[in-house]
Amino acid sequence: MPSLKDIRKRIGSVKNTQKITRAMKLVAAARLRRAQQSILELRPYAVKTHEVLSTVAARAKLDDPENLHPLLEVREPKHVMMVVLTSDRGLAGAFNANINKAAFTRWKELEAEGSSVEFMVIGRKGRDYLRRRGATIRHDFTGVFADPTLDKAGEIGRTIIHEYTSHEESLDACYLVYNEFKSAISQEVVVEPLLPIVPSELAEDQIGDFIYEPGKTALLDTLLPMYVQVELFRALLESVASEHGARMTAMDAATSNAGDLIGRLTLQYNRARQAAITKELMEIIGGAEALKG
Amino acid sequence: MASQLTLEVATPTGLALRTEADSVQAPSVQGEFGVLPDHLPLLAALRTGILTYRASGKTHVAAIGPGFVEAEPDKVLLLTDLFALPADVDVDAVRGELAEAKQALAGFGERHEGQAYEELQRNVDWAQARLDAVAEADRVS
Repeated sequence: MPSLKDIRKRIGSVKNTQKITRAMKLVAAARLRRAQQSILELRPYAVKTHEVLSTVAARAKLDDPENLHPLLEVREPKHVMMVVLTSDRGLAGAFNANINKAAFTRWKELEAEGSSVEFMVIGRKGRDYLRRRGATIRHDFTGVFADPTLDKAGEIGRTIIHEYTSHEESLDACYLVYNEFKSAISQEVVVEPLLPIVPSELAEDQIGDFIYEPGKTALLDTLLPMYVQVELFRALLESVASEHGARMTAMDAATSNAGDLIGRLTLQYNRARQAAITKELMEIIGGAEALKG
Repeated sequence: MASQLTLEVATPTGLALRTEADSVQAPSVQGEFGVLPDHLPLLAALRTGILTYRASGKTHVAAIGPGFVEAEPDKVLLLTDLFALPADVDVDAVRGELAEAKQALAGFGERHEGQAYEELQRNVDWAQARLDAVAEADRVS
């Protein structure tokens, strides 16, 4: 039986913890709102970029299937890079664990299919996890999530494209692994092919005269990197929103758990106090009885 | 027959502009070009510069960054990283940015390549485009 003082100390420390988790929940909720806003703002741009790219790429494929842009060319996936997006900080529930598990499973699958797999990790948690499991990490970026910008996405995109098109040990495929933002309380891990880019099929009425300025090839040269950049930026924003959503939920649960614990401890404290009072009374009565003699 | 164009400007920070227009002029990498309703389908790469469009008898101006334009008979869609309306441009601040970027650029001397150089060049172009847009807006109004 812990003493009254011990119980009081525990209640105090749980209360402090609860204050912290509550504050973290509020911070996450505020950041989540901002992240959600950025996704909504980016979405039309991302959709349109994809549409435009799809049309041009499909036409290029139709006109000249032999001589495709390297980023459009589908090769046997001997050499694969996985781009894994986790967070830099923990305390976000199963957010990082889910991603790591999904990345690990896919990694082993790809290896079983005979591909050699390398990683690009964005976020400290994923880096630490994969490094412990002996993954080959070609690039790692940390501190991106504090302030994700289009320029940073561009930098990462250029690195990927460079790896993809450089001749020595060039990559044959590239996957993105990230948490897709569904709602504040649910995230879904997606493993999505980033490269090569597979254009959607053209509808009948889209095959007509079209003026390109400059030529199709030159356009693709600028459109493709831009597409990769926008895709990455979208994944970054989705991941950030998911992270804050996950942290908010986790901290909310932690706050209510702390509340339960405080309730139980308070009950225990009251019982112990009552027991002590009863004991004292018994002693007094016992003493008085003895004096009566 | 379409008699008007729907002009849309999409940027990474949202749909910056959506309006009906009688004609649109934008700077492509191969030079200024204009679009009237019923234009042939066109896709062009844009460079930093000023976008002008006429709507209900008035000419409007905006500064845009590099990107793409897709024109259809009744629609013009611009995809660009940067977009600014003249009313939102702080002329003095942009002049400062321009001077700063130009000075940094001069420091590069003869080596006109590499990431850092391109970035600076982009800053110079963007600052210049915004100043041009303000000047142009004053001229047409």
